[in-house]
Amino acid sequence: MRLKLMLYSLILHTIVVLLAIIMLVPFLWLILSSFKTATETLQIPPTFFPKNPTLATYQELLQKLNFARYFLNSAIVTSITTLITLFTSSLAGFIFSKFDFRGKEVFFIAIISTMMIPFAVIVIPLYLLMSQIHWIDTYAGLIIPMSVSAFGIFLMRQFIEGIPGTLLEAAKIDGAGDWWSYIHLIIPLSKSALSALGIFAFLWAWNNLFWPLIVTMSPEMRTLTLGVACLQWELGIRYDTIVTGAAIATIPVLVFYSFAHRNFVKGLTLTGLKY
Amino acid sequence: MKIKSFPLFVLVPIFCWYLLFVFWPVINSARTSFYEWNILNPSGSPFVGLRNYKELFQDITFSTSFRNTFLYVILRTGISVPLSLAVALLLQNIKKMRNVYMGIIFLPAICAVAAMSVLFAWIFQPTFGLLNAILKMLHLPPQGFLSDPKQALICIVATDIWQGLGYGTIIFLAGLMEVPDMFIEAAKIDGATSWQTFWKVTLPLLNNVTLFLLVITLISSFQVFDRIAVMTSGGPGKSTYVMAYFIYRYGIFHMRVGYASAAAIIMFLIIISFTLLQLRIFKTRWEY
Repeated sequence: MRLKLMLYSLILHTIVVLLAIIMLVPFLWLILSSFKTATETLQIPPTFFPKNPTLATYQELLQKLNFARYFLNSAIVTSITTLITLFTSSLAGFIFSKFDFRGKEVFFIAIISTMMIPFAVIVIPLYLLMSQIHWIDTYAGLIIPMSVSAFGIFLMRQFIEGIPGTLLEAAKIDGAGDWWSYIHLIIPLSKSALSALGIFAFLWAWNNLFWPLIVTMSPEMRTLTLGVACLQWELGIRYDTIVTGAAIATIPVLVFYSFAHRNFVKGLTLTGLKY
Repeated sequence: MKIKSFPLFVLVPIFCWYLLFVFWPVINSARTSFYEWNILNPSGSPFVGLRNYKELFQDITFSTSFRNTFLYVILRTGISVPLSLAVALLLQNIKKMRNVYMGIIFLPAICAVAAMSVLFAWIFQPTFGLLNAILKMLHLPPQGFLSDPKQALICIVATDIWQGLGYGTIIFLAGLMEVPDMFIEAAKIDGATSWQTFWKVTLPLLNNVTLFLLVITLISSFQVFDRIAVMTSGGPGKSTYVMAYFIYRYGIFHMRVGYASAAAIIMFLIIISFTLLQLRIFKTRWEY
């Protein structure tokens, strides 16, 4: 009986280790290959570990191929989009959960129902709108149409509903205004939901390909994710460059993940998040 | 008075945002789908009624996109959801280092689809790719992968399953934690095998989680775009066209705005009916 249990446990562990390997090998391949030379990436059979590790490809991408600029663009777009998303979601969540006014439910349902509209359905009119108001190739064009999230509003409303209303009433009796309550009560008390939403807003913005592809024309305005995709479309078999570009786009996310790992899992289970 | 002005002050700008960036585009898509778009003079575009829709139904590229989208959704959902459940059950039985394994399995889920797609485009490359090198090592015949019209879509689905596994697993694992031990114990005392316990106790209790995941996976795979655009650009030939890519290609690339809008409206109607159907299922099974 004990032997059987041990065998069972051994099998389970073997499967999970194999699974971990399947998940990790592509990453190892990505990171290791980013240090290979162009010729080595075209070798048959391919080498797993780089023979002469070099940073030349990183240098080429950052200096000659505009990747430093893409990185900056991504940093600007991602941080501002995330901040606006957090601001609008918490503010709207506050109002939908703690205020009563006519038409509230209709408003809320109208916003929530937009979650099921596929982006592809609105992309053409959005593109035409952007070119009409001259937002093509601007940060405003990259940021503003992506910075209100129905999901974020929904999440924040659910969360703020759990904050006791008596707290707000007490503040009101003491003469506090609505903005004061928002800044000094709602925001500090919904930190866990805000950090969960922040993590995902960051990832949505950083990883987004479709919108930057539509709204940018000139290479200078590309984000990192779009820059990587463009390498694939423009360079053909320069795998060294392509894979190093992918590494540059992925490493910040990995660093971010290693810091926020615990909040990640908490955030997901807290919200049953859509991602 | 003050209480009333604050919500208005906040909600009006947010609602204007929705009008401008969501509702108006949907309406505009619907309207444009009845016109033959004229690039040089948009306001002078002639009204053509249902012609765009009629043309779509005769367009082989559109029917390919349509078929591929459904194939993609079925494969992705049909494999991902049970696989995530299996991995969650596996992890539940592993006490040591569970968080480490979870961290590793979730890792791909946070990375950009575009970055992972260029990586896999290389791994799947027939001549220089890692995968054919491994097949060769195992004395198996090399495959065409992305360059083979029959295999390309399946390869793309495979990367999606790989990347989405961690998300499904976390959701199921959280659901499994909520299943009261009491029920499992009771089943055991009644002499149920672990197989029976799973089918008769655990799975029904997970119903809401499973449905949630099904909906999310279905909707997201229905909209697949990034992977297709990066890995194959719809090729080889047009064998991996899906609806979102079709709309992009015809609407933005070829500037056949009216035609692509008609495709967008068809996609919209399909998603809406899907969602309404699922909402009904949700409603009937909600109470447990």
